Amino acid sequence: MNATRILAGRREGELLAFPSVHRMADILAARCREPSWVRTSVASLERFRAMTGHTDLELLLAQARATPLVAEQSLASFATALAGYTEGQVSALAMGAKIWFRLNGVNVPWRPLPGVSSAPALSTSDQQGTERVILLALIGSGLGLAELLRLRVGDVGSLDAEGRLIPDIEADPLAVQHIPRRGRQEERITFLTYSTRQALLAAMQQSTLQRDSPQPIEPIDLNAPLITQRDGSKATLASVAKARQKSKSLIRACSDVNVSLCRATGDFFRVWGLPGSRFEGPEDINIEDYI
Amino acid sequence: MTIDVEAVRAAAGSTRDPEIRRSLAEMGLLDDVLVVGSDVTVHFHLTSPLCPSKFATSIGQEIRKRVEAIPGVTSCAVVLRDHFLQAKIQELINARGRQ
Repeated sequence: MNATRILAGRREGELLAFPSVHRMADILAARCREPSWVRTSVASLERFRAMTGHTDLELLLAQARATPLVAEQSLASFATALAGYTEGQVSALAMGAKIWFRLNGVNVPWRPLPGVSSAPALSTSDQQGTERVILLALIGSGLGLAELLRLRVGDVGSLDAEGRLIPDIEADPLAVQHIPRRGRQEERITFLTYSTRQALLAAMQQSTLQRDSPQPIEPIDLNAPLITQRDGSKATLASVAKARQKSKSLIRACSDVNVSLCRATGDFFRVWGLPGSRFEGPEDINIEDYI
Repeated sequence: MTIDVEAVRAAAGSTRDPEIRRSLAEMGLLDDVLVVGSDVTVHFHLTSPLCPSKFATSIGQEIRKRVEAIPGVTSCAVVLRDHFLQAKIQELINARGRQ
């Protein structure tokens, strides 16, 4: 599906009028299996544009190409405008701008921008780390479990100007290259959330500490499995089964909340009537003024 | 051929909410089922009278499809209760040739 179709009827689709945004959307549409990444990236770029006042994105891009510091300053001013947001929220909102810069040849750092610290992970005990990474990585990435378990450390990182992966475990947003198990067997990219990135980094740190070679700077093995046990070995069937079980429980609990909310909202409007049905305003109100 | 009401309930009740992914029977959303000869009428409601019409229509059409697949059933009318767009949604669900 092409970018124009993916963004059809959406307000942020107007940004495709900028050639650089069109380029970003086209590359993502071709490289990502999930079209939602095109929508997410363009929508968050629109947020960046509105909140930093860089209404002419082509002008900003030209300035950033001439002086790369301009790009970093614009991202910093975006982070300032997002004061009070959590690190995860800032990461998600800055995603579009970072991808846009990179895919248009401006090599901005893919590192977290400042934000309010999120709540700490509840537990870092053995196994919990692996299960936590598996659970988080499946949320929103569109990856299947088998696809996730096949990933290597070198499969995550940032993107170059053509949307190809540059291995970098600390990248934010954290892009993933993978070959789908179904459909066309061509390399695709997706992204992991900030929480997943943090869980991955914590698990890798635990794994390094656990091993016998506590060298302060250990070269990263890009061919090592991404999802590992605490000792660095591949995730076992038992930990995968536990993650599956927890995933089902989580989905079930969230569904229960969803159903309860639907029922409560329904009960309210059964008594109240249709939204707006009790509105009392001036008789000469022109509804078209409000559309 | 006699139509077994329980078989109809089982077929209609197995329809899953596309968002919550649980069956109507499990969520207690299936109401009366009436069988007259080979004609069946299934009543159901949703968790909210404001449930998006796209979901409501899709669920209703799926009920019809499942019930009409039961041997001996010639037609299934689906009645949606307690929804603000009840009439319009029912029209879409029960329109012939639109399954």
